[in-house]
Amino acid sequence: MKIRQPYPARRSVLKSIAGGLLLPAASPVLAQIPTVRPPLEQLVPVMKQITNGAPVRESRVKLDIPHLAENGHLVPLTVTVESPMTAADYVSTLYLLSEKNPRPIIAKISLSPEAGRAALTTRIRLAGAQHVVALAQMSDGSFWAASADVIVTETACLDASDIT
Amino acid sequence: MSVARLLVPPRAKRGELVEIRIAIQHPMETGFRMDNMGKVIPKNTVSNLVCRYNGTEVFRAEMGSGIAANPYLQFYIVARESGAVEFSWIDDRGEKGSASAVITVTA
Amino acid sequence: MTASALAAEPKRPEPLKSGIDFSGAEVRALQQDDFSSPAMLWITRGEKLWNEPAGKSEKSCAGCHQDARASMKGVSAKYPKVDPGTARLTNIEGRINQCRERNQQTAPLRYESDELLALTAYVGMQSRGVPVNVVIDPQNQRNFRRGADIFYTRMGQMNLACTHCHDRNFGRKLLNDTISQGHGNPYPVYRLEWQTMGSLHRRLRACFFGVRAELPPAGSQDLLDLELFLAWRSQGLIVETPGVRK
Repeated sequence: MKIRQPYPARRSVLKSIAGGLLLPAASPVLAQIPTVRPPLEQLVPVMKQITNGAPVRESRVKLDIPHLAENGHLVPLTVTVESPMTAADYVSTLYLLSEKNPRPIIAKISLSPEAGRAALTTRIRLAGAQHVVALAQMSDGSFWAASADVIVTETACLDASDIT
Repeated sequence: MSVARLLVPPRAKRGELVEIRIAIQHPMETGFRMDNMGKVIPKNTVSNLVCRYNGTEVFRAEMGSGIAANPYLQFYIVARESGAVEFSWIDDRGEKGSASAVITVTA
Repeated sequence: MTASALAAEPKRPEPLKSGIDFSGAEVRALQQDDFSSPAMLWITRGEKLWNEPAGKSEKSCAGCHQDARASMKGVSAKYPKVDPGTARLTNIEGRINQCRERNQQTAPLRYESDELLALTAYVGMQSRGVPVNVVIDPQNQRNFRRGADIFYTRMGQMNLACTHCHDRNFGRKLLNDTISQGHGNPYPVYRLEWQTMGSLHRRLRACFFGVRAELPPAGSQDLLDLELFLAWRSQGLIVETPGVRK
């Protein structure tokens, strides 16, 4: 018997459109939480625009971000890319992409071989629970990516005291 | 008056990987917020930030409303020669900022 | 206000715990890192302002008080305090503005302005690690009683007093938040929700809003008295200024 899914499986969507980005399996805990959010499909147009249709491969990129963000206004993240960072082979551009923010491109980072290590730590805003994608373009033009599932919680004591 | 904090190790060995950190005081206005009168506060983010090491661009960040207020960036460079690590940035309103530090490289 | 009119006899929570103990890993990591804590941007600015001449006197804070790292050590742990000149209860913000008006001969800084937050945080940071230590004496007894009265009195459409959350229910969940004991020891703090630095009075106003009560203005007598009561209540906790909170 076939189980009907509310959305096309994320894997198949990205495989078919972006050319084979295989997403890492969700953690066992997250897998038990029924997903009500739109699929990663939403990011496909912007990814296609960046890659110009070139295939995006999983691996080489590591995205460290909390599974459960305490507040969407400030979510720390670190991206590291496996690369020798030599003049012949380096990470030229790093994109941080959000599935649900009103503007999907969070940041575009240009690196040079002088970086020595392709790593970036920063803090982002997330408008609700969603996937975050780190997309790296190498100096040979190839694309590599990693994605992470982040749950953003809302605050109970919302401050609308409007002091400023 | 805008404030920035920059952390560059003052000394490094040639070829050593050094960690650079910068924090800038900036609201990173999203353009989706309203003031008390219900008027939209225009988008204003540090849209472009460049880091030059001895005059050569080594890092560039184009940032939008998805970067948290008071942006923070941490990355690496390889210490080659003694010299300046210089940052300059500009926001959507055209306001510019800069910060720099000197690194001494020994053999 | 007399003691007998209080809804409860003033008590400290047991065991006494700072809000940082109820915070998540990200918030704790931010507060612990003196470079990457966003609050440190206000410290950098506060240090600049401390050394900058201001007003007709053309004197800087440092002109009289020299190096804040020595002269301001432990000072904020004893505030709010009754000013001997005016006989009024004054917090660090008030004390800075008093100095600006009287000694520097310039306009006071607006409550919640980046400048006043920066100076308050810079002065407060010099007491980081020092235990909160206010003494209730005949001069501030009345303020203390009024502050306690506010703390224990039900208010707003929610009909809740501070004590209902912060004495009876600390450590428990309100949606995804863990209720703290409501201490002032990390203020001013960088609050993620604000995306900026804010004063204790701004935080207290947010609590008043939370129970749908009328909001006393920042710097008002009500909030000053409450600040004194909270300082007494957090006696022994160490100053964490500049803190980070969710």
